[in-house]
Amino acid sequence: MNKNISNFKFLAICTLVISVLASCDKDDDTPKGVYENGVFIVNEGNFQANNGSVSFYNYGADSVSNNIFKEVNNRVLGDVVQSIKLSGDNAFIVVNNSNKVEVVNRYTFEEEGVVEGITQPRYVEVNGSKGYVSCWDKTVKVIDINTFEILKSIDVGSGAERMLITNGNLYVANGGAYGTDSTISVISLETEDVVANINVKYNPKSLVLDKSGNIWALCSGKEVYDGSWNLVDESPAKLYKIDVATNQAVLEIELFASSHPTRLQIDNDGTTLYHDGGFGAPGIYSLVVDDVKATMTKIIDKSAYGFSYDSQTNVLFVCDAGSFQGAGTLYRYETDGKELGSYEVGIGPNGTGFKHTKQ
Amino acid sequence: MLKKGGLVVVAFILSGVLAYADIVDTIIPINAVVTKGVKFDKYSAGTKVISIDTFQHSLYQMNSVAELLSYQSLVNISAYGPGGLAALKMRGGSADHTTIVWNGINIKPPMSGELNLSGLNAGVIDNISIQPGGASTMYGTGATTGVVYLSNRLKLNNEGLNGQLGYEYGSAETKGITARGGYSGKAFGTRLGVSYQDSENNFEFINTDRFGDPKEKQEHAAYNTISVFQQNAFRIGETMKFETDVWYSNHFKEIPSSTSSALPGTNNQRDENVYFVLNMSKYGNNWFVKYRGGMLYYSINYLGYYGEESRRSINKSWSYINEVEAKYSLKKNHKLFIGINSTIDHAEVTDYTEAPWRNNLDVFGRYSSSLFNNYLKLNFEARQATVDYEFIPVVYSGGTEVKMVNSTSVKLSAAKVYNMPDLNDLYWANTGMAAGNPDLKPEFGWNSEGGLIFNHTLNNLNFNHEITYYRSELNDAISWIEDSTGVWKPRNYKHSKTNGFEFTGSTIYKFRSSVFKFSYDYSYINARVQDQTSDRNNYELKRYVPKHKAGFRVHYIYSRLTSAAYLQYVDEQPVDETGNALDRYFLVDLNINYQFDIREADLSVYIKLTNLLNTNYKLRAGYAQPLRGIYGGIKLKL
Repeated sequence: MNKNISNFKFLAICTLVISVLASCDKDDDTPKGVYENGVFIVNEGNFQANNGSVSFYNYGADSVSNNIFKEVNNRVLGDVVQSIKLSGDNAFIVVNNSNKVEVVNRYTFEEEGVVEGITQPRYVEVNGSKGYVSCWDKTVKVIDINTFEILKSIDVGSGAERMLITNGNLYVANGGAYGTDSTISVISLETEDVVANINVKYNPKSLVLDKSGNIWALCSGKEVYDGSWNLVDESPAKLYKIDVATNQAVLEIELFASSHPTRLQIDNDGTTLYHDGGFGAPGIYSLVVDDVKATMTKIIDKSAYGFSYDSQTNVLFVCDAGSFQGAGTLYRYETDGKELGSYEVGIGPNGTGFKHTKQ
Repeated sequence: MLKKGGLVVVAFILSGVLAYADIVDTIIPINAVVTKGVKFDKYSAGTKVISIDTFQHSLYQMNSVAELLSYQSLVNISAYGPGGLAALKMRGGSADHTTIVWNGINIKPPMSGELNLSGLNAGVIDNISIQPGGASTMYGTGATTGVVYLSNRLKLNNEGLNGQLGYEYGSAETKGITARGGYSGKAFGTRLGVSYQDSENNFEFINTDRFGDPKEKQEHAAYNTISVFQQNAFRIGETMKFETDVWYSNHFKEIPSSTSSALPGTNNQRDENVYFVLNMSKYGNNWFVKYRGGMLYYSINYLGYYGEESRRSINKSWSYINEVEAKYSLKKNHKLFIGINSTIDHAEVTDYTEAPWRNNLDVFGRYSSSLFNNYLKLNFEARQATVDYEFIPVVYSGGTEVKMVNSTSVKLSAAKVYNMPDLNDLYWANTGMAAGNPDLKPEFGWNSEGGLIFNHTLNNLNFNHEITYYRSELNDAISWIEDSTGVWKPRNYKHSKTNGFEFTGSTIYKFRSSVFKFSYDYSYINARVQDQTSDRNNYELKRYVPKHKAGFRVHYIYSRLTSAAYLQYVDEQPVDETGNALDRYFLVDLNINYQFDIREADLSVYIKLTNLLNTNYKLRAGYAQPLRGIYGGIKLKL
């Protein structure tokens, strides 16, 4: 009897082990969803037309699927889709003029929930179980990324835009919205309070981290109009290098006197910066962080409403919104400017969301 | 959905049949929907004019002109929710391609070229008609794809004192009151009318644009409309008439947020309009001369919140109109009609580069003849316009109607049309995001159409039907495009082409003391547009133009009881060029009206059931429409 039980136990254990091993292999092979291997493209849509959308570029198929949120969830995404942030199994889609952040499974794009009650949200950053949403009501909202509740509201500058987490802090570029701001807010992730403001000139829009742990901030400059809509004041676009140990700007580079770019990216090595030229100097430019002469090189001669750097493939994704009447176009380029392909996307493409991202 | 609609119609007719058994045998006359292919006032041979049924009009007295016209398949209303900005389009054109004429005057505002029909109360208008197709030769700029006629006719028929009072209350805390009173003699008449409508507009709807498809109550969407009109008419001798008309309307609207947003709206807008028209006419044996003067005032007061900041925008415009028309009969059945129109537009707008004045001086004329005992009708028209003393290319049109056998007529017409840029297009200041373009050219195009008209009476049946096929094109169509500096500017950018098919008809059946009146219409529109500099055939469907729209209205009249059912089908409507579209929908309304005779007065009570099938639908992406509603009212006519 005991021998029989022992034999039985042995067989059971073997069966169990084999089953576990087999299921592990199965899990590794099973696709998590249709949207696992590629890049999401954010399409703003037309203002107040409720037709913002997300497209998906598939690496393997080298093709784009459009309007994927509506295809999967059978409802519109909302009005002016501003950005997308991938974190864990979720994607956080910021819908600016619908005052919400939609949360979906990043692999299947099935809706999971929504964060509502936020005014004019722009971007999301994630740290652990918390998300930080920059808003144009001069706040950053702290949210629970599992329950989608708003936990706290932190006052920052006007036109809060892109953010970056490093050195235990959240850095918020206060882009000025329709006016002017000259600060980057530094928020302690521990206390969730503003601990410093970094002064820059003017309207910081985009932040990246270089190989040495310094922050680079792109300031688009300011344009001031009088009551009759005459341009009465203008300042150039600039790049700032910020020492995170002191939260001080240590280098200032003037980019354009009368053009106002908004997007900054950095390559995998953290050594080469990429930025757009604004409407006055259309194109994509590169600048090496260690270059003391700060030479700006135009690598892509195309007007870009938005662009992003894909750290997985070392490719630049450039978004051309055209006239906003009809589909926009996505272009892929090597970092030397060689075009790899063009694809029809939604209305007003302004950027992308990657699963591997440094910004 | 069609099965549901069929059951509704059967139920409605059954209710009327059951009521028949108890009611005294007296027929209440009701005006028929008339489709006209003949010249009438400024209507040309070969065109079609459709009047809104007077009974339906009387039931929707408390509603806006936009809501009343939404039942017509030949027009398309695009509205930001009930009471919200509502634009009317015809035959695939834009809102500024349809002219709105009130008592002979083009009342479209010069700022945007679009009149908010939600701010016009249907109760102050006596008659509403629509004329699809180009009419630039008669009405000048803006009459590219159609005309809507609003008229108040004060008749000098010696009826003496008269009055009318009405009250209605219904869903979404909507209430309205209208009152009219006047005197009509042989040589003098006067009339005053007031209408007020107020709604919290807090209707329920299924919000399919939010996570979980919640059932919600509309917030921050209230509106109110005040309308006052006053008319006087004098007959001087047998051949001269003098009339004054004044119409004031004030419409306030809270603007809700998009259905995809959980936050309530914060913005609001007040539209205030004053229209004054003076008509003087003199008749001779074979001639007629009319002077028409008008002053139109528009004001839009908008308060918007952007984060913590608010901004108020006050926009005002004035139009001063002087027009002389003369008609002369050359011979019997040959008439010559000439006219000259001066319209001076002026605007004061917060975001304009200046406070512009624009001088328009047009001469126009028509020759019409009726031959072979009225079996053949012809007309030719032309218009030469000038804007700020510069000539605009001449526009012209022609039409014919030929009566065949068995009450059938064939009609043909063609028209060159044009539309001037509006003042917003020309003078908007460069705000860094948008700017006007003073170098814009007029839009020019062509309309052509052909059709058949059948009018027939067979025993107790009376048929009126019309089928029309049309084609149109518009060049240099103005569109706001983002330029290389990121600023949105209007440019003569697009080429549009449309072809379509329209069917309208009515059938009246009299059975003993009952009258059944059916009217129905169907419209197919294939409207496409593309960048006219493109060398590729890359036409895309125009936004907010459904390919198919159909309406079916049935009235049952027996003695003092009138019941009506209105069915409407609207196909899906593209909201952009990437495949997003509003869902197709089917609506049913039911109405029952009973009239009491009280000495010399008529008292009517009615119940109106709207959206009986509880359809969840939209006229504009992001803006909900109400589910089922119920309204009750009374009308007293002296």
